[in-house]
Amino acid sequence: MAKPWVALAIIAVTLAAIFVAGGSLQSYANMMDAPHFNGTALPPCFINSTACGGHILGTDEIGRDLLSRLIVGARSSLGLSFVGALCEFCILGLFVFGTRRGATVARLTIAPLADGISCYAAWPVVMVIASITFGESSLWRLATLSLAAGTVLAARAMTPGFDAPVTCRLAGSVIRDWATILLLLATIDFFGMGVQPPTPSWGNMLAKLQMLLQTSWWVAVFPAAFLFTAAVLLQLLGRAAISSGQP
Amino acid sequence: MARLPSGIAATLLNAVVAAATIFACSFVLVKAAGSPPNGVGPSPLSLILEHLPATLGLLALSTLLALGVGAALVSLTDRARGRLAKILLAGIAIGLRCVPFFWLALAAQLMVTIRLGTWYFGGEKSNHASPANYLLQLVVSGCLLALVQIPIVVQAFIAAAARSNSRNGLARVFSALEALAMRLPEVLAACLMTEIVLVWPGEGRLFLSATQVPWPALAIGVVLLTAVLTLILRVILRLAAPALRLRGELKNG
Repeated sequence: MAKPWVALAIIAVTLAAIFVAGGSLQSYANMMDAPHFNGTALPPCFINSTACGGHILGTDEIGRDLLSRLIVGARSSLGLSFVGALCEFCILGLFVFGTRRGATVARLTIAPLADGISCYAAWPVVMVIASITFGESSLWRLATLSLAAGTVLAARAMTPGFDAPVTCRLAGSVIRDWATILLLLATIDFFGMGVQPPTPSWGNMLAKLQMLLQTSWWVAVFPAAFLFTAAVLLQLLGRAAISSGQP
Repeated sequence: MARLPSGIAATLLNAVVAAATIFACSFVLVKAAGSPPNGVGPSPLSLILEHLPATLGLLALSTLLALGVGAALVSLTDRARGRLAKILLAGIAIGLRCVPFFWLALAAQLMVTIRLGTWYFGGEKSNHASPANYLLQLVVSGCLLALVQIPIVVQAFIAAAARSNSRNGLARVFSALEALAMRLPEVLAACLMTEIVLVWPGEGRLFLSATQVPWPALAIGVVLLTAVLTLILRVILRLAAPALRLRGELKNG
């Protein structure tokens, strides 16, 4: 029983650290390093220690420090996807509570509704909502997108054929879906429909991916590597929590 | 988890409720989008139907590829019988789930472009379109989409083998198809992304244009199509699954 709480404690501490670090770095992350910038992205220090200008992971194509942008981007990417995961947790929690109180009612009403919603492909639905709400106030929009993603994934978790979210396995299931929501929102940001520049997110930092892969690969690879690492860690944490709940 | 009611009548009743939910959600989205743009042009339905064969062709090819590669991987793991092989397989599956798919698709496209010096954009009928280019585009897109399906297929193969303790090929293939149908929304989402990035002339390009114009009715139509396709496949499988599974197990002895 201890493992899910350890996983939740690790997540809480990591999120708190990211939010504190992201908040203090926000203004620095949007500043161009004018003294060193020469029109192209500065390389990371492990490639060229003299030309990097003190930027550990180099700069982006307009001379902004990549590492600080990644930390600030973590705040928007992980924070927003966390809202979606929390929404999924609440829906699934209510569902589990409801099935305990009245299994037949849930069987006849909620299960077919969830079956219908789970038929939707997740990122296209969120993309449609993003295009409909484009131009509305930023925070409201982004929260709506995250909640929509959480709802579709909650419906999917309730559908037969998927792992049953029962009691302490629920937390593991939601942590795994957090990784899915993180990647989903990154896709929306990549298409320019989510977090808007200059606010960085791991998804919108990859918007010029095709051009950057050829000219300055580090700008295209590091955000993707951060996304990948975060998703893998969340998947493994979720798996650990699920397996701890199994008899 | 609340299991859905079983039996033919209950399955059909459930499908009706699920279909009503799908259409109600789409209706809400259309209402939220407001009035459609004025102008004369093709209807969303005709555009969607026009692009559907390309999407279905890509899905068919990738499913075949995923079944082939999945079977080979499971067979190799069976032969190795080692814990390491199974851990490796699970690691690959987690890795493929966690890579941002748009990134993978763009990197693949770039690699093919650099390797061949050219990329045939569009698949549309243009002067420089040759059957070889079209085929190359289809194969690369199919291979990329298969990467999403392979973990699902492998998982289904292993689960089928554990359930019936068998090496019955038909039962395994059926389990894999069932798993793919249950997770069709994920596969269709990856299919749309593949079509967008690799410029395959299916629903993906249409969807992206519709969200950028914006033409909400068309975008919602594409999303609705994915949901309806999934629901139809699920209902067919739920009706056919008990008989087919029983047949597979009887054959197995």
